[in-house]
Amino acid sequence: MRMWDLKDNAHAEAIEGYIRANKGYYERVPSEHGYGLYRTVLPNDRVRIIINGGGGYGPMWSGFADEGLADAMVHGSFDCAPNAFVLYETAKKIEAGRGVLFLANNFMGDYLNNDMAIELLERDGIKASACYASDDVCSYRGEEKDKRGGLHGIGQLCKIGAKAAKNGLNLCEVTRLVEKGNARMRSISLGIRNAMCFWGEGFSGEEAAFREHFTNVSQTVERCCDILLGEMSEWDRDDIYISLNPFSGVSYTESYVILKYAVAAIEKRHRKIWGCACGNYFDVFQGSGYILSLLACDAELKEYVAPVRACGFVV
Amino acid sequence: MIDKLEVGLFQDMFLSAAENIISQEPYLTEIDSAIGDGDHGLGMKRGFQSVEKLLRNKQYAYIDELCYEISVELIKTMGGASGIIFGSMFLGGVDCLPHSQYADAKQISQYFWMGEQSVEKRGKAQPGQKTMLDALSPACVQMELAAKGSADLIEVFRAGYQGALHGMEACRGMVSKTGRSRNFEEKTLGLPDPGAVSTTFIFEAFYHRIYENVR
Repeated sequence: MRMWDLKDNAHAEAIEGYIRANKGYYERVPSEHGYGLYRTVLPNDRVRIIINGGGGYGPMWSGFADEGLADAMVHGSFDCAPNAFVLYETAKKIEAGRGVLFLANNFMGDYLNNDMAIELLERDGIKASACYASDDVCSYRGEEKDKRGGLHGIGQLCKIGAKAAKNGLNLCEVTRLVEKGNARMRSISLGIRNAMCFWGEGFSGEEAAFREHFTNVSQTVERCCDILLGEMSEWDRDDIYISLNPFSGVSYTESYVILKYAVAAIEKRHRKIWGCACGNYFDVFQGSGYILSLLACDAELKEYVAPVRACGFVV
Repeated sequence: MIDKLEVGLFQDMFLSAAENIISQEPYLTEIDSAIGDGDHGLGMKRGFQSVEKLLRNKQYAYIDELCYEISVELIKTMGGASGIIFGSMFLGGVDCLPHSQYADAKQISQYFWMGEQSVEKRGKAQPGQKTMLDALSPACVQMELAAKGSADLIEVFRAGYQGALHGMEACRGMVSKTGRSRNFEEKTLGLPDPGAVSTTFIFEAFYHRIYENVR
């Protein structure tokens, strides 16, 4: 049972509650058919970041409209990409002359709507671009990285974009840095139930890429790191930023135990840790398990990658 | 025989299509939940409910204006991939339509064909990948052939419906190659693509409504 009276109204009511809880900080974009929320106090003269995706339950997406992350967020109905017009209208509300970067996970609905929003903005003379997070190593198996879907790695891209915009970079440079982060990031999801590990299950019911008997937590973390680092040999001299997103059924204590194991596993493989964070913000998976994400940071990216504390979670 | 499609009749045909989609939402949700992310039925219902409301509250004078406003309504209200795809299906060929009360068989078949091209371009997809194009493309091919042989719009829409129906049935035998459903791989065999089913429902309603008009 969910704690709302009418599912169709849940997102609108949640946004209303969120605005009330953060008085003076947000406004909702007026629209009957989508959910756009923007920060009311934004510094002038910088590229704007709009994070967006299908509607869900957690801090993704409203919680990402915050200092050091996005300037606005847009989401659609449950599990449905937002429509292009709300993206366009949100961009028009906050654009400040330097252009707009849309960030979304790499799914067809998100791509199509962001792509059309960019077209609409360009017709109005507003520069816009998009980056689609494709960090999920188990999606679209066997295909090139730009065909893969996204997991919680979009959080890392958001803070890279925000810092680059804050530093006054132009839209092309902000986009380039975010794309660079996306190229160097890999994530994997692991669900654990009935003494079995399910690697790479999709959040729309796609079967696990593979499954194994559960042994212990540290071994699952080691396995994750091996899979992810196996795809990151190109950057084997770069330091690693670890981002852990526990599933909704994992406790706070368990979460930091897993993070500690991940740090140990990376160091055991003779890689330096640039930083790490643990936050349950991409909450599409229920039960026990986690998503682990690794980002290979060179000297340039290090300037843009550091933990960001948002409303109840850390990216 | 109908050799000129009058805007009022076309509006009624769109209204029938909207009613058909809305009533079929449970089935669309069921098949999309099996091989997709489950949002197709509700998204289509949401979009076509808005179209229904639009069409019940306004009488259009021009064919191109009717098609343009329906397209924009779908894009504005649906979200997901379907909003853009079905919006493009009705928007892509608007420039082929006269700014007039009437359109003939050739103009109508060209309108749908250009819509199909727009879906291919925007969705970066082709027929044969188990998408709505597997119904839309044969529908448009059949409509074009029919329009070459006859000026009767009933025949053109009958051909479109049959093309869509055959295409939709044929895509049951395909493995999905694009969108979220391709993660389901062999599991998609035997089930039709939800977008192709919706396309068929639209052409079914178009044909039945225009056919009823002369009975």
